[in-house]
Amino acid sequence: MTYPLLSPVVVRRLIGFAVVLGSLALAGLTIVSRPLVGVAAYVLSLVVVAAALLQTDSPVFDERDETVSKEAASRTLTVFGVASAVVFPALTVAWGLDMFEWQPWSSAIGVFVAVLYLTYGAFTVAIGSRR
Amino acid sequence: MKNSLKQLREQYGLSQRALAAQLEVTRQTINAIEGDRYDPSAELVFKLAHFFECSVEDVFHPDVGLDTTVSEVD
Repeated sequence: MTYPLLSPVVVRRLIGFAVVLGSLALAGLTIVSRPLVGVAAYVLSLVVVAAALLQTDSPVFDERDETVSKEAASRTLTVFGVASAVVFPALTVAWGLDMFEWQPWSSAIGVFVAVLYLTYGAFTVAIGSRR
Repeated sequence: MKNSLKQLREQYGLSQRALAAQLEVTRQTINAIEGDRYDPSAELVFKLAHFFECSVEDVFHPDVGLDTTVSEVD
């Protein structure tokens, strides 16, 4: 039995819907102590993405999407960078003046940002050395 | 970068969808190029020129000055 192919626009929307729903399910079900069900829902969303990509014979994503993604990633790094340059020194000063106490959540954000920029730096060096 | 893509496409009676299919890109990309909202890659620029059997300059008109050539350099 054959099914009619879907238009790339429909496939894009389907993929977006599946990814958002899968991610929300993972986060939500983990919060309510159902992590395995959350992971199962997330994996199911990935299956839907893979199946959706097979339902069209036209490109769903192309170079423009890649350009948009690169610009979004660049702006995200910039926002994190500017925020980090202001927030973390300020928090450190406040900590030194006993006006702020590092909590697990604030430490986790600090470590996350540090790992993010270490990864960015490593990729910058690796890619730069190839070009 | 300004371009004459819409005029060329209409001259050949192609829809955005049909042109996109020929060039293996999305219709949104063709629409964005025609609206001057997206500058395509060099690869797509050459594919477009090749498809319409014309030079790159017949399709795209860069905003930068192109006055100096290598023969004018000391």
